Amino acid sequence: MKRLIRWFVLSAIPIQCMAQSVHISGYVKDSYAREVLIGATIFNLADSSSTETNEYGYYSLSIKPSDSVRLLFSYIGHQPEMRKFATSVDLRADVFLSAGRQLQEVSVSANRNDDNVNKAQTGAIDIPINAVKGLPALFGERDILKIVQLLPGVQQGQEGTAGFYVRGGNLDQNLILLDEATLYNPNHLFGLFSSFNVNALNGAKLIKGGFPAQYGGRLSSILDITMREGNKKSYHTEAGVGLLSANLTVEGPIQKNKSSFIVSGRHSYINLLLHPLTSNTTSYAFYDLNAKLNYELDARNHLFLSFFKGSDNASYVASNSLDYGIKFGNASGTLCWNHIYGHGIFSNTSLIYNDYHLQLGTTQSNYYEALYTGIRDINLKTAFTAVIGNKNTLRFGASYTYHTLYPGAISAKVPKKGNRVNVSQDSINQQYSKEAALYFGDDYKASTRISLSPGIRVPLFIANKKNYVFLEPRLTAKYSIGEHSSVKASYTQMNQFVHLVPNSTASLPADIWLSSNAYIKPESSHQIAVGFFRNFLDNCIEASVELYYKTMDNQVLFKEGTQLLLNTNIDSQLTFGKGESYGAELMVKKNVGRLTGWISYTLSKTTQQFAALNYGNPFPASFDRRHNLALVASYELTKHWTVSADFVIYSGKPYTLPAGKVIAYSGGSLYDHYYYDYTSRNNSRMAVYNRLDISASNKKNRRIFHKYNFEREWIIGLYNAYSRNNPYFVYLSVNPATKQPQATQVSLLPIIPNISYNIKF
Amino acid sequence: MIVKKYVSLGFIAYVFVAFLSCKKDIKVTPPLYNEKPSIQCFIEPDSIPHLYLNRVVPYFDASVKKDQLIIRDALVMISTGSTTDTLTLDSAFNKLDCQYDYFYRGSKTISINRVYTLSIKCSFGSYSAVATTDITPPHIDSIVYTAKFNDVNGEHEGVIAYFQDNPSQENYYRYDLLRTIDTSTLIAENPIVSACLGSDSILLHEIGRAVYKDAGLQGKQLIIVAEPAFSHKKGLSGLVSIQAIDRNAYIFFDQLDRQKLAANNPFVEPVFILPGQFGDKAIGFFSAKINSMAILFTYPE
Repeated sequence: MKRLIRWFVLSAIPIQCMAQSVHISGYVKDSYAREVLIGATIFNLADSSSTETNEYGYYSLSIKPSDSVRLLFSYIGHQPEMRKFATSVDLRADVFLSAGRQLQEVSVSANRNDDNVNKAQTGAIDIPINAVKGLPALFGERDILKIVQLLPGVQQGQEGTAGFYVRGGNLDQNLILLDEATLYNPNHLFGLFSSFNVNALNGAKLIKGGFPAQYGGRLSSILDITMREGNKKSYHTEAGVGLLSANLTVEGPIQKNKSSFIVSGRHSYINLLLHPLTSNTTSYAFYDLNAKLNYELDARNHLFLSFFKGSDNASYVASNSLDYGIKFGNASGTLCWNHIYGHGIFSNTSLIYNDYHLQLGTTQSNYYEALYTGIRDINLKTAFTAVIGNKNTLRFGASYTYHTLYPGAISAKVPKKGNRVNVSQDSINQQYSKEAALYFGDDYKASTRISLSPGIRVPLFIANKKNYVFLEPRLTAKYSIGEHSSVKASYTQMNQFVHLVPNSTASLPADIWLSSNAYIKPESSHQIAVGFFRNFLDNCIEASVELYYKTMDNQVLFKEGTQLLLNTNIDSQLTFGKGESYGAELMVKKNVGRLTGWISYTLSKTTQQFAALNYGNPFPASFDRRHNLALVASYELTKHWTVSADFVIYSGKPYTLPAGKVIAYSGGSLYDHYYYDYTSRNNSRMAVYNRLDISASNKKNRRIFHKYNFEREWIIGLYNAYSRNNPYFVYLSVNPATKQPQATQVSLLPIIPNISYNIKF
Repeated sequence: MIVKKYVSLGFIAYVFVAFLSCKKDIKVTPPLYNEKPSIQCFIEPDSIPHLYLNRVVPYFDASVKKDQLIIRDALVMISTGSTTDTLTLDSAFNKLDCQYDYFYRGSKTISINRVYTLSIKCSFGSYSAVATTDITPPHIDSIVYTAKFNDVNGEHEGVIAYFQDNPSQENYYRYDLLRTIDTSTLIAENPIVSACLGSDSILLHEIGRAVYKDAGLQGKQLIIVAEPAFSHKKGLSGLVSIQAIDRNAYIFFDQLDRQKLAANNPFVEPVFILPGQFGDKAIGFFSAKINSMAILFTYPE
């Protein structure tokens, strides 16, 4: 195997590149917890070349054999460290960085990350978990997906939900990975916040365009989240109580400096408080559990086993003919093996299992829907990174996934007598499919100014004897203009084989996952993006402007008037079309100092066109919002007090309003005397959405029994501080007396105060 | 203990406030809409044609009464061969709606197996359409009442019509019950509100909203199960017939049925009325229909 890989790598690169360099490689870790640091920068002061640690904290830098080379290791929130090496052979160097707060804005520039300017990657944003912890919390729960919604190019879904839309793509076009396992619905509490417990997370990266070849299977974005490994030196506990739930995280070494564990759980206690008043008619319970074990077998081999399970179970019965019962959850397990081959070659092989299910029964206005949608995947993949010379970093690998999907739904009038039809996993015809991919990419530094990242991915999809094979070329390019600015461009082609078919009118989740087959062709997209990136004040302030244009084919929607029955062939109720999205994204971000935060603004337009919808004319996508502005700030008032706020304002969501009304004569009473002339789909917009959230936290170190130190934190905050009634949905009715139509707006979340208390020891 | 109780109650109130949806009536900017005519006309052998011609107005327009919507200045003609019937504006008082119904009435009886051409000239423009009265009426085998019937709408009562399809042509059907109603009658479980009905009862066609086609079942016995739209008492009698309608009417009423369903059911996408016989310049239909022989039916409960 080793020989095969080396042969592959060596045959790909001219021999002279190999002969002229040696590799310095290893892990960059936090000196206190001995946990790896993802995205730490390694800068060679001799030739200004640089690299960064991968998602396992590993780096490999190729240098010319010399008497002496100075490398600067840096990571946000940590003190940089300069290391001097003198080597003529490959060298393993693990580096430990100490955490340190940077209150002073004057500091060495190398201490600050300038990846946004220097890396060829476009459309990628690193989300430091520390930043998430410093921002306002809904119901006291800090949430990484809420932060994602505040980034440029990302549109928030329904009010209060954790769903997001990226560059004109639907919700399902985002691949959300937790330790490489796909999570299809990472939400709690109807999506009010995500099922990611920030105490258990190490880092996250959102990629909106210029996708590296190792990613595929979705058209619009990759959100790659990595769990923490746990402290390898000492045991720690973190606990918190909020208004709705409590959480507990325990971590520590199994074998000091060699292996560790982290277990983090969260459980709601809403029911305990609701049941005395609601006679069990309303209930909500959720929990999530993250666990990870890691073990360093030796200097070259590292094993990880991570596990996630989240579940929600809710029911609500109201007198106004609105009720629902919903159960959903994700479970995933990942077994990873990291292996260092030497000569700068790193591999990761993973076996992944994930399971998602959602069962919904809901009633609105005397109609009900029962729905079951589920996906079970078994995935095996292997990925290699090889640093060749000081110009090339190769990435190649393969993956195989076996999908099992369970789609089923019924929508009907509530029977006056008898029971409603129920939909369960057993009553659904399962869909089986196989997805495989090979990929190859190269990060090539052509010169100090020019970097290129060409790549190719070859996905293969097999379902019901129908095969699809594609070539997905990828290319990103960067041209540096001086030290602090660069221009980048990218082209990517993507394909997607599982689809969430949205119901644009329902206000509750009523979407179904379906697999591609002979009838449902894979969705595909082409995206080009160009951007200008500029850092100011020694990288204290990052600024960027990106323009993108994306086309999407084989988009899926339900036909007009589709009423699903349990025995309905769902495929026959679908209609296919295309989408187009373009826009400009602006971001200005301040990373260091007492005041941190960012401003993001997106101007975009997303349309869809289906032959069978809207008379075949293009129409705004249901998630199209022209303007989207977010302001996020966090300020350290004192050593103990931090205040933070976020403000968002964006254009209203489109919906379909009838344009004309027609009096009905023949059987008029059956149509409430009128029927309607629709002239275009999504022809009206809800009111502009705007909201301010504020939060303050107070942290102090305490001691109990004069012996044990711990850190305690109070967080108080207001969600929707000025209690704006933002539109959730709009419905139409006709006044029976005046026969006049009336539009009614429903708002969901008014001002919501929150308070939580956390301790860490 | 008291403190604990208040804390608990406060917390519950907080959670409820957080989840309470807030509703308010809003003014929305209506989409731009160019008015156009609505034309609705069935012609039936051995009957005088009635044509309803109204303005289609913007959705939020204040005009809701029939006398505000009727197009009065139209020249409406129905012709076949060398015979032309010029329809004249007429009205009839509708006690249920408590207002006049306005329509254009012909003077010549419609014949079977003829091709009729409708032409309309009015301030909106000129319109024409063709209908052929070659539809063969179905034959009803039996009418049965059932207290329990299960379909997409769950379990409900129903009037079941068994009838024979005509094998020689493509056919489209809907249910028709001629019955009486009064102010004690409920529609969709709501009482009928009419200032004009008083203690009178009126005859009314209770027409099935769903339309059916005989695809794959030509010449076989067909079954329509109609869920009563109006409430009934034991012993109430009516005349059940099956309307055979042409393809244009089927397409139009099928869209209306699905549009109504979509308007009621929040899980169904809105249904557009696609351009029909009049293109996109007018909305509606000009179609032939014929009713089967009516069967007397009495509700057993």
